[in-house]
Amino acid sequence: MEKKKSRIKWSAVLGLLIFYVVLCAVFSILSPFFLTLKNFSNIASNMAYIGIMAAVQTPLLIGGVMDLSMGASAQLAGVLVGILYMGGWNIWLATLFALGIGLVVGFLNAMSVTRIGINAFIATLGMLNVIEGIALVLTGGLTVSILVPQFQFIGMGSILGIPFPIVLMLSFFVVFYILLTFTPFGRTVYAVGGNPVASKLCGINNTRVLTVLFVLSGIAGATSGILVASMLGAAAPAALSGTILTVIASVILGGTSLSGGSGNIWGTLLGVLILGTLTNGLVILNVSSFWQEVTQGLVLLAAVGIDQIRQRREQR
Amino acid sequence: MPDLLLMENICKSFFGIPVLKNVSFRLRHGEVHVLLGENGAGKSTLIKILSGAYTLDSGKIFLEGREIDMTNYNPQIASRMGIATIYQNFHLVPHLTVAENISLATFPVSRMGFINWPKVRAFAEQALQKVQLQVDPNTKVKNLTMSQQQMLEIAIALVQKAKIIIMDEPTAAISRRETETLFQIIRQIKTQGVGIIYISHKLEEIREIGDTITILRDGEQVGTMTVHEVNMDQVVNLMTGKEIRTDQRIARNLRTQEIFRCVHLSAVGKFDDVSFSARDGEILGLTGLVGAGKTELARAIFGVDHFEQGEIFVRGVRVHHNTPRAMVEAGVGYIPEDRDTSGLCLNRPIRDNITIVSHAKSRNFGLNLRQDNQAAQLFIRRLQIRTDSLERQVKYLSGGNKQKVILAKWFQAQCQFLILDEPTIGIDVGARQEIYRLIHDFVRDEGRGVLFISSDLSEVLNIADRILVMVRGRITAELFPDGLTKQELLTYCLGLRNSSPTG
Repeated sequence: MEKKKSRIKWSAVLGLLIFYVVLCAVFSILSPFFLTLKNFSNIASNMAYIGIMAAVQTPLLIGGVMDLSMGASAQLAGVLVGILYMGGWNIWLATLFALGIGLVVGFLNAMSVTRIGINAFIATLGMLNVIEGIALVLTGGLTVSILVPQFQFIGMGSILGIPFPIVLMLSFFVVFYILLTFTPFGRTVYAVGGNPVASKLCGINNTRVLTVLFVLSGIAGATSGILVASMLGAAAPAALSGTILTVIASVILGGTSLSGGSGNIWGTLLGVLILGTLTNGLVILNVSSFWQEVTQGLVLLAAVGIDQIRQRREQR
Repeated sequence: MPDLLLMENICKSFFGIPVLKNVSFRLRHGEVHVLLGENGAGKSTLIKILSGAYTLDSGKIFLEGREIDMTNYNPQIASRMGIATIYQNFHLVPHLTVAENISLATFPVSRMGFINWPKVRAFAEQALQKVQLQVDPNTKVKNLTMSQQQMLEIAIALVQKAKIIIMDEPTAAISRRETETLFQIIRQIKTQGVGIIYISHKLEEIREIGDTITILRDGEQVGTMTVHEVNMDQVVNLMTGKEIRTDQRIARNLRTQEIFRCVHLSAVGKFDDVSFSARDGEILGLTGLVGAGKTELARAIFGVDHFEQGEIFVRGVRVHHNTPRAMVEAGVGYIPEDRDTSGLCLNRPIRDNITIVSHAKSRNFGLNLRQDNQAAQLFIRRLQIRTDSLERQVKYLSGGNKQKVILAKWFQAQCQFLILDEPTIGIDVGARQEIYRLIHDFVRDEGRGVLFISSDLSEVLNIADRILVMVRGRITAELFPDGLTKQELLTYCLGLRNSSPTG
């Protein structure tokens, strides 16, 4: 009996996996350049910065909140590293400082949501504007170049033949998988998102749980920005504006509920890969980037729509 | 004239488990037909089929002699046909006014296509008159009391020319006096030929308002009879299929050690100078009329709401921080009145709901999934929670089983003093007995105590070792159930008598 239940739980992820395999099959039939190890490694590397943010956005959504300011935090972090390095700082010290700022941003988000009681959507939307503005002010809107060989390792290096961005992204997923599945803290995240009143009456400190999540989110945003800066060898103050929508799209695609309380980190990874592969495949097929946008949107709508229909059928 | 409603040989199963087996049900014009049965007996499924929320597997439904086409049946069609369901303020829009809610389905419009407001208002006044509800049509619905909202729902049903009104536990959340008004309205709409399907667990009420009773047990129809010819013991037996013992008290040793004490607790407008203590092994009853401040007191003790003055001691140690977290750490547990909205994570598996308190208390970094499963399994077995899997989402359980999951969560976390607020509300007779037994088992172990809050006087008399009576925010009597009658207890609750409590 128990096997039956766990099958139901996995069926959402399984459905995505099948969808992914079909997607890959279609692309490899249409193009001989698609199905190569090199190409897949490219896809994963290019999606790594989205993946890192999505890995943290997942527990946030499970906990019933969201962080829209992540992309902006990423941007600010890249810009900070560049400016501080130009100002004569050691590159690693600058990186650490940027991560620290990410942490502070996350903490401020947590305070406005938990202490003041601003809705997370609004609080982080406001924060998004503030930090994006700060990044523009700091750079005067110009791109800052960061050409430091050691620093480039983050974006260009590899460990045991695996590109470092992929290693970094996967470690975020593994860490958050462990956090959500094998720690009491993870259980409290599900409880806070599932029913905040009940979780409070169980002695869970909702404020603490959300604060931890937002702080992690700030750090992840900064990490992601540092990764991008390293890959590009430069930080542009407006390069990552639209990424947050892709992040949320991949989390939702992965089966996490917008209303909190349920979600799965591996579904998110698949969501990220699906969106990345889609873009990559369409580029290989020379489809115009305008149509890529359209396709991405349709895939998201279709995936979530199918999932809703499946859930409704289960209930009736 | 054909019957108003005839449901014939209705069958329905969920996940291959049959929940309705060949149930037939007949409703005449102007009849109050009571649907009785334990939770999970199939009452809600039956009415949800009628109201279009569920599809049926097989069976036929006739409305005034004409068969309803069930293939495309849904809630909209049901309400168009005149089948209205009164849920707890389920169909009302809280931020709109009474008048707007009444006209929501069909706003009267002027020739220009704009809303004709004077007409909306007149329409509302007319509708409110039908249920003798005296409120300003411009009041927002969220500012109405529970009972007023219910009346409003009935008014809307009448305005929409409902032929059948389904009332699911209509008196669960309203006072005795409001219940009287409700019954008056029911009697009045009966005379207009409207048929009423009435679901309730309160057996006394059924005698007062019902005409016919249909009893369901495990999805089967076990009896249909008129109210005049039944005897209530027989009804209870039919519902549960077993005899019910009335006195739940089991001989236990009351130990002398104090386990919980609160001193001079006060919160303005809620309760005033409340002091009492509970002993090891004791089930301490707290009763009083609805609105006496019992729930407010429980919430304040557990740290959900704040109090201005007073001190709380658990096993002689003062609890300084008044937060749920601190109380849980001190070994206190709280089971709120409203299971679904404050007691459970409905979308989470049973296992996660059972283990959540111990995870909340845990200071470890990791957790052992196998231990979690074992713990959940142990409590599912010990509390006889009826489920096929510990992964089952809690929302699919019946009220009694949900309450057992909440009890399990505190038992699992080794809670020592448990505050239960109306723990058997909305729970059927059979599951109630099980809840009582579990509470007894809980206090049998050393170092455990219970504060049992209930406005059901017979229940308190039957389970408590000692009873505190609360009247308008004050504890006015401390009584022992031996030799105490329900009538006497009621006189205390009404504030007609006092006895100085020794806390």
